[in-house]
Amino acid sequence: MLELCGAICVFVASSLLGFAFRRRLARRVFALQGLLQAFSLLHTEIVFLQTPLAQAAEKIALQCDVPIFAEFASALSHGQPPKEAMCSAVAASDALGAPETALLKQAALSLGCSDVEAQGQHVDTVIRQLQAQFQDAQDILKARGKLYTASGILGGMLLVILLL
Amino acid sequence: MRRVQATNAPAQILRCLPERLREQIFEKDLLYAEELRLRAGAPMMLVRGGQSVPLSRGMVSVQEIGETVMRICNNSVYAVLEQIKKGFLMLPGGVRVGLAGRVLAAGERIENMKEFTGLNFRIPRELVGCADKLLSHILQSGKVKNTVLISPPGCGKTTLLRDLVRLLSGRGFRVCVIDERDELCAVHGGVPGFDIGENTDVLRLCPKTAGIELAVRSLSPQVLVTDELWGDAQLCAMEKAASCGCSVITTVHGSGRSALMEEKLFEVYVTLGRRSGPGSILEVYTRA
Repeated sequence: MLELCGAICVFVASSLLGFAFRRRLARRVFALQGLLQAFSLLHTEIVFLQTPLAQAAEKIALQCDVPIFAEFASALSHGQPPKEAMCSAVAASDALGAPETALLKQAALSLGCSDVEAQGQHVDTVIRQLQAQFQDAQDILKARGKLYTASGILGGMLLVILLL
Repeated sequence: MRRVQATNAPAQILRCLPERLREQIFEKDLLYAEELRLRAGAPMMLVRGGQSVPLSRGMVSVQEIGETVMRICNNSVYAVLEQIKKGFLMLPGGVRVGLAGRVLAAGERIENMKEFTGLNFRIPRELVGCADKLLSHILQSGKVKNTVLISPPGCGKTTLLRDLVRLLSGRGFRVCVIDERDELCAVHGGVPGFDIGENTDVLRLCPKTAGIELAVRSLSPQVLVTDELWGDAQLCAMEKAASCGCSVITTVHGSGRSALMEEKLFEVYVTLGRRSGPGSILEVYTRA
């Protein structure tokens, strides 16, 4: 009976590990999708409405559920410059990978510093780069997501067989 | 009776200063000051009663001025570029910040400013009742006479004009203010930062010539008010508004009324000075 319980525990743990790895990949995709939406809205707020950055970020944080942007908006409203605000926002999130973290930090350096036209181009560039990362993250999820899940389940089974 | 109304201007100014400078100035210092000046390579100066008093230990750096500009802009240069092109920035509370630095121009047109080297925070006053005495001069059988307030900079034209708006609005006149620099009414979050009366409409950050036409055609004002009239185009727009049946009140930089006497638009000329502090009325001349 005890052996059976142990086997179930090992199997469940291994499967959950597989699911956790897959979920991590999915969260990256979800975060990048949210960021794409947020930066598209930011483009509109800057180019068409010329809303100041802090107010624009606050509005966008209310409109779409993107925790990173909510953090960014909160830091800006406390008077932090965009660079520091973005640094604290990405530090508070574990959903993003290293490339997009670097991309966001780089993007924040130029946010708010120039005229409307240049800002529009800058945000467009960020959107294009985020789209590339989003595509990459989706490909990785497709390729490795099922692999992680299956590996978790099969690995669990193998362990159970070996242990029994 | 003149009564100084507290504003949030000092707090807004302190919010924008870098920490080192903020530590060297108190909010109460700013309450009774006219200007706060930052110049690169010079100490921070407070202007009170026309006299400059050095405030800071050590010199203000170019970096500190740049940091202050970005704070005033709320890190959003694109949102205030039109103001920068005109050489100023506005803070909530009606604080006008004059900018000195490198001007990027294409011919005679200013495209941008950068490498800021000096800032001049003009601290606004709300002197409730300072225009009481003036009212009898500009009202005649239920109509407001076309009036111009004349003085050199820093003599209280805007303060007097603001109180005049409040008084006329309080008497039921439909007043429209073309507030090109957001200085007269200091609207923030949709609410005027000063008491400008209940019958006052404000066109914020609107160029005067366009604003005058817009106001006359869409807001049907009885009294049209602008601050700091400059150039023939703006004067022509005022004349047109007056010919449409609106009374006009404005301010002009100058040391006396002589330069303006040829303009048939104005009926009352008010000359201001600093004889007993800013806003002292030196002369009220009514055209016969």
